[in-house]
Amino acid sequence: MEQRSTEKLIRFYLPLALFLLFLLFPFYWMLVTTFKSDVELYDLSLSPFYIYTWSLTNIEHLIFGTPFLRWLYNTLLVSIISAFISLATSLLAAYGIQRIRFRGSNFTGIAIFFCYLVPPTILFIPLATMVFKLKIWDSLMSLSLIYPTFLIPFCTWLLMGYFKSIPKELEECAMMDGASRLWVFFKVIIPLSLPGILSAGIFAFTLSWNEYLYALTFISSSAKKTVSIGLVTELVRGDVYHWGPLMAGALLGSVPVALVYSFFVEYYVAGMTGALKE
Amino acid sequence: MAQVILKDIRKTFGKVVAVDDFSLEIKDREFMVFVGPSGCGKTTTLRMIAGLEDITAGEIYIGDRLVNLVPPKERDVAMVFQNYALYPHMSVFDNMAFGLKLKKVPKKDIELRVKKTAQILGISELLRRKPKALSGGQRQRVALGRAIVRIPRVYLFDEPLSNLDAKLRIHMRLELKKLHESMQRTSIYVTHDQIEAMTMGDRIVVMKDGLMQQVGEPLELYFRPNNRFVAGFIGSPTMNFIRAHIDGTSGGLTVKSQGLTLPVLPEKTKALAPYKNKEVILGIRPDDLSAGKSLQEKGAIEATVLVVQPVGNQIYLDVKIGDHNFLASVDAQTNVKSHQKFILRAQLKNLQFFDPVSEKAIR
Repeated sequence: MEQRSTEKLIRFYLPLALFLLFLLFPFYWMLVTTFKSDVELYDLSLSPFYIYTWSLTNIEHLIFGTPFLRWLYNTLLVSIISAFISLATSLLAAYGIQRIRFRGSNFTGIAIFFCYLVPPTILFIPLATMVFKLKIWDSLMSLSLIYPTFLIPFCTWLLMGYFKSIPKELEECAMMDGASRLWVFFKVIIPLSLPGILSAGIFAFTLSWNEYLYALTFISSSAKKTVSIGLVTELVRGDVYHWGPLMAGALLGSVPVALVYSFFVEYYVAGMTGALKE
Repeated sequence: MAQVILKDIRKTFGKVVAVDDFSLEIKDREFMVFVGPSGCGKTTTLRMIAGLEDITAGEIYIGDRLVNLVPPKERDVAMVFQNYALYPHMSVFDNMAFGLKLKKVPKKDIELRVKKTAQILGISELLRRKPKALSGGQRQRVALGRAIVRIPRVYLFDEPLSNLDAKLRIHMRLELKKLHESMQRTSIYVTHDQIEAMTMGDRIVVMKDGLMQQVGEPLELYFRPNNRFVAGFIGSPTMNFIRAHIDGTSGGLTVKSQGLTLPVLPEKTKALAPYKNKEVILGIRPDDLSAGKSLQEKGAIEATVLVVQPVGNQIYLDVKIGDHNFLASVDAQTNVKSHQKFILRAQLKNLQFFDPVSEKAIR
């Protein structure tokens, strides 16, 4: 018994602890830096791991010295809109490809997947032209429309996997009972795929929230920036890093995502494993 | 009237022919069973009747209406699926009420009908539960209930009992049969289990490789199989088959194989005459081999017992006759041990003969 618990400690808890340390340390660093005054931060004689005197100046600077709240709002808005567009589109696409089995449905599925493989670093060049021609340059609209280009392929594939796990007989039975395909989709498929839809939604939301390259390319005015680019463009001036507010921004910027995950973690796991339990 | 008529039905999936040349008239209120090994096309045929599968060629009528292009929801049929296909997110009540709600039946009537059906099936106290809180047998009942509460013209059953354990299956078999008698609706039942087919069907269609092998009443299939496949498929334990030779003697024909000579009864002489001095396949059911008294008896065969398998009401004997292995089913009281010599008596009138090439019954 003794031996088994020691073994478990070494084989399970020790790696787990190391892993957690590795993952959580950056957050700890952010936290510590956020609540330190600049004086303390740049004093190399003090340990960087503790906060000797708590200070809110960094947060104050972030909120009142920069349009951080505006950026937060922008990010939230863009993330919600693009996640919503992506989900609505992917739901229909995934269902069509997976269940309607039209001629060329397999090809369509693969083609959508290939879109996902094109790196944004290449894709932003043609997209820039399009954004420019559509005259939505430097607007949140541009991001809301561009994010779905990488979200839809991802969500579609995730949902296709999920739909696959729903027995076909459920739909067939409903159709024999007199339901139309649309009715089946809304009353049978959607309720049963909630975990899958939620995880696709969370993913879409997070990916939009964290997106950097497109936001950097297409947004230039300060009031329209998202958190991810706002922080680095406005709080890093040349080679001067405003570490305090920067870390405060990073910390506050990751809070909404952390909240979303913690609320839906159960669905999220179920959605990713794709298991429909009767 | 809701007879179901299938005319020259053909179904292909790409190059694979799933069902071919299938014609059948299912009478109103008949209980028709499709039976055959897996992949024989029985489920595909059922799904074509349901409208879940397109028909490559042929015509299907339900009642008097040609339904080839009619969508499932307008065919007025209900289907019970092998995996029950209960909606996991709905309660038992909602599962059963689903079809009625779609038909816009008044709420009060829905409640009445669901409750009545639940009562018939003994699931009244489960109405509020979700499917995941039900046992296999209970889910089966809910699936049945969902089908019958709609009172469609035709019921389709796709191996509905195959996920149940043996005991429950026998019980549900009986209930289904009773239900059919009280409902008086045309029913089409697909199974791979020949006992289910024999016990439940008014008539049975035996299928193999997409082709109908024989259609008839259960005992007709048992006693007068059209071909070797049907003879082997129907009946348990399986019929013994051996290659044998037809000899002509002054007293008539005999069928001979190594270690066995049996007289051919006069009523079969005529059919077998063309096979005189030729080979046939001889089929003997294990039930038609009983313990004999002496080798002088008509139909007596000398055998060596290999294995004795008592099953209670009977003893299955694995025996060797000449070079052939046979299974015989003898009376439970028979005193027999392995490795002993044993006299069997064949029921001559039940011998089956098949053409060695076409495997069709000779009669």
